[in-house]
Amino acid sequence: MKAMDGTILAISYEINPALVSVVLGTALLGLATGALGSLAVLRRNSLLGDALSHAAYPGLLAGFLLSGTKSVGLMVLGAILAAAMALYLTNLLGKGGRVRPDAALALVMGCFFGIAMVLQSHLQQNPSAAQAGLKDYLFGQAGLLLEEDIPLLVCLALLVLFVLGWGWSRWKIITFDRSHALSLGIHVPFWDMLYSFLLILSVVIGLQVAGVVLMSALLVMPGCASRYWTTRMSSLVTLSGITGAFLGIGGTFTADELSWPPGPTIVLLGFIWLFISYGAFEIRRKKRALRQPFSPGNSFTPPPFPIPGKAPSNG
Amino acid sequence: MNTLALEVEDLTVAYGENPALWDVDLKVPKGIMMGLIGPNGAGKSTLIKTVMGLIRPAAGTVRVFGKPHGESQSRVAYVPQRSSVDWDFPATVKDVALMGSYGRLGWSTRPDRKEHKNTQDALERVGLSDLANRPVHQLSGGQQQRVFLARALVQKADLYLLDEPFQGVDAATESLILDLLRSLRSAGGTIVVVHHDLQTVADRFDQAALLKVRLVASGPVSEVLTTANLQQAYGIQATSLLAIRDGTP
Repeated sequence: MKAMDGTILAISYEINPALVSVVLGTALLGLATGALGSLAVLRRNSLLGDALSHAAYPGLLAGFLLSGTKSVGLMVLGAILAAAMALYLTNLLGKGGRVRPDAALALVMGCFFGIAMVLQSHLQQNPSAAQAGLKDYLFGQAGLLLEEDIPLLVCLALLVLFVLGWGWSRWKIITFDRSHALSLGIHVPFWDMLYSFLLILSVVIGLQVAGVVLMSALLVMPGCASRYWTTRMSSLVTLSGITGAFLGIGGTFTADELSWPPGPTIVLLGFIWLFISYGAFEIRRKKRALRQPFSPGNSFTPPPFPIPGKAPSNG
Repeated sequence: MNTLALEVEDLTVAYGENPALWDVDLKVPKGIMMGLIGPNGAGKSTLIKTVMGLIRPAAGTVRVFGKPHGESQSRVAYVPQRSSVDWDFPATVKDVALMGSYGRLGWSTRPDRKEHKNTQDALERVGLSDLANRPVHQLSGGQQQRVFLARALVQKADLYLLDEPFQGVDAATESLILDLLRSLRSAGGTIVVVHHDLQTVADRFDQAALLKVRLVASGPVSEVLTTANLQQAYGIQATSLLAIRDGTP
């Protein structure tokens, strides 16, 4: 309950203006990644965000190396390109059949992060690199969110919400049954590309706030927690977005109160929420089971008549 | 006038180096129910998926109602194997059935009242209208199969391709599916079903196609299920299969 107290306390005190942009920034990022990540959870592709954030880091460093200064544009471009390349490689490796998709993810993630470590050791001899705070991207530094970062995060959140709402029927059908979507003539590769693009964009923008390692938690946690509360995809995605935003707000205030780093605090708070969601789900399930021991969906209905000498299935 | 619902010519499909289908020619006349039979790995599902455009053939052509696949897509409904999706998905029975209408909808249009009515009718026909708001993860195997069928009905197609709809469903669902397919046929629909149970082929289907990578035979069931054909498709197992067919122990 410490988290709740912290939130209330922080509000009742005078609010530090620097904190406002951090709270807003993390809330917007949480909204975008929560909504988008819930789709990844449904697609059983939760590790993709992790792989992309690890892969974006060397691109960021390469952008810095090329420009020689902290040029945000070039660094972001490098990160996007590196993440896209990693995604392409993962798909290519996974398609061959011998390397499973999960192994392909692990391979590419490790390889790109290895490149990043090599680049980083090279950069350590460069004094301007330390000043540029490149390490912040590795572990995240939400405290550095400034007022001028907010418009970008607003754009990201609006873009994610707009694209999800706009093609809602497509997201739904492709997530549930790809081959059925294809059979209806829906252009599934286009939607896959669009999804990857949004994911890469969120990961790259989120790197500064959450860092390489915590980024995937930000993507996956709201979706996982929300699965315990709803059985509709629309409410799942909505709830995940809201959860992400609230985790951003709650985590930042708590972090400020306790002088903890915001990124990890958000993730820890998310874990507590996940645990509460799981507990509430189990309690509801037990109660329901006590009320109606045989719900029609779970019970076995015996065939109404014996089936005469059914032939063994030939396969 | 074209009397064929489906026409497959010289179709070859390969997964890597191994051919899954080799030089298959198949004609399915309009208004019949055809059973697609053959041993495991014979390419039955592959054939259906290729017709649906889910798999790109190495060679050959597929024509649906006399047109290449893309042009007649809206006239074909595909019912995949029940196990091909994750049923632990946050959706209700009605949500899934409604997806049958998505092919007619534009990117951003929501299903209107007419589509909802269609869906309600389809659920009624498969006996699931009471369970319309039930989450799909609570359904039994037979109910899942019926949801898939309702989704196909919503598509209002002329050709239905079903991949093992009788696999692992209870007897009540089995007879319901059969009745439904027959009523679709009487309404002028054409139905192709991947089927495993040789014993029931003659009762259920007007025609059969026996596959073993190549097409062994196709046509009226009695002409397809001959000793020689079954021997060719199933090899050594054929003697026991024939015993089943002839009703001898």
